[in-house]
Amino acid sequence: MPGCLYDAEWIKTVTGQLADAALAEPVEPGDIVLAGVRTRGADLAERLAAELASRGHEIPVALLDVTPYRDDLAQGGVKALKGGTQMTMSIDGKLVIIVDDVLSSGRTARAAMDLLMDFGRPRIVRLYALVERTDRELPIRADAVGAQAETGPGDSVRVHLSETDGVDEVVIEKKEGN
Amino acid sequence: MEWKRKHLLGLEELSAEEITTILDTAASFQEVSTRSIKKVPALQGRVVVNLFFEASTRTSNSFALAAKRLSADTMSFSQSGSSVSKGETLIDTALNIEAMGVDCFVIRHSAPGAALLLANSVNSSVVNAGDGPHEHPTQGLLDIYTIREAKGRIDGLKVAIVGDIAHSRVARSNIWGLQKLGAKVTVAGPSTLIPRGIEAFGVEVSHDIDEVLATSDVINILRIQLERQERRNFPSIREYAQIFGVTQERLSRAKKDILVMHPGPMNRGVEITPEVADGDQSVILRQVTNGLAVRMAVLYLCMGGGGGGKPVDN
Repeated sequence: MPGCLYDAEWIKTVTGQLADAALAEPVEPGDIVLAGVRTRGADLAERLAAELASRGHEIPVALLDVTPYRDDLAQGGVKALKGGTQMTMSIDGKLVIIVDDVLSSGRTARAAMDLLMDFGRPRIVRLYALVERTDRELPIRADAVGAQAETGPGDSVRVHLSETDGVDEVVIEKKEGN
Repeated sequence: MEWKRKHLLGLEELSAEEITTILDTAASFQEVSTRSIKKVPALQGRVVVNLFFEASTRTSNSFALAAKRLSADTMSFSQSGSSVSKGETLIDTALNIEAMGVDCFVIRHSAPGAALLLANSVNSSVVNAGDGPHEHPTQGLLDIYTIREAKGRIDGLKVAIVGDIAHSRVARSNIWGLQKLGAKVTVAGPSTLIPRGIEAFGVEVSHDIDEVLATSDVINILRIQLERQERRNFPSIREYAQIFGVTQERLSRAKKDILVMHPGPMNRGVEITPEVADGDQSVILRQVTNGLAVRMAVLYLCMGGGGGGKPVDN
């Protein structure tokens, strides 16, 4: 049964708040790299970069394909890749902001961090998301987030973005009995 | 995405969707070879065994590197210096190696069907790296990938394969794969090197290299196997070079954007001249680069992306 719904306006507002957070980080904007987790995290990272550009800051965006770093490759059949990782800049010494749509178990963020370490040595890594679920499985939390969702196993939080899904919205579906 | 197979034995049995899945997966793996740390952990701790009963530098090294790029461990077995010289059979060899705990065999063998035989005898994944003159699926795939990369599509393209078609597993795999994706294939060469009845495959046959060059979008030049010359399939190497050799002069009368391909190793001056091999229309080195990404994709898909999964019908 679909529950709480956030709309396009909310996503726009949160994008602005994440831009505020990025500019409040303890580094010069020139030392920031946005690392969007494909697919929707990458779309969000591009939107965040556009918002920052409109405020006069050109921040480079890397696109991360974390599929080969997942910890569940041995289960459930072969996983499709998402276009590979595009990282044309150095991340050594930078403040890298991993951007994703939903922070759920924390495993995707863990995979993203391992991926970043293969590319260089960031000075600081942050994690920004639109929604953070409360049922985390790894000790990882977002540094900046739009909203928290009280969720348990079987609940789903889905972000739809116009780039991929044709519409901007956040849909939360709680399992019967949760 | 369409992939449920544990083995890759040939292109004949694959659907267009499956071939496209391999190509798209390869495209996603392409960038790994450009990183300074050229690895992803997808197959960490899995073991890929090269079982090569025929000589190879390109293919065996390409598969070994592809496995390493996916963080797999590799093992290499070649016929010389092994117990095959003591009479151990293919299946026994494989079962003994498998008893040590491996996950995938990459096999090259002179007998057609060797890869299928192996797949039916072991629990591991099996990838065919060339079984006699039958198929060489990863070469076909990397050729098709290279064409798609350069031309943006396969459908509707005119692709010519020139040379010793009769003995070529590269030709066969290319024909199967290209046709499934909608290309129009022409095979060209002396009539002694083109199997009779090959038109039944849906390909056109030509014995005129100039006609083929004038109408093709892609020309894939096969190596003339000089060691077969004692069977006198053509009067002399010089005559082959004169009648079928792709020279710069011949190429100047081809389409301006024709793609020149060769699976290697090349006999410079026989089927292809150095100017053509090293020229602007040649994508021969690109084929080798793409071979890495294609083989990474094949290993990743067949080994379930990490887990063996349940054995599936192949």
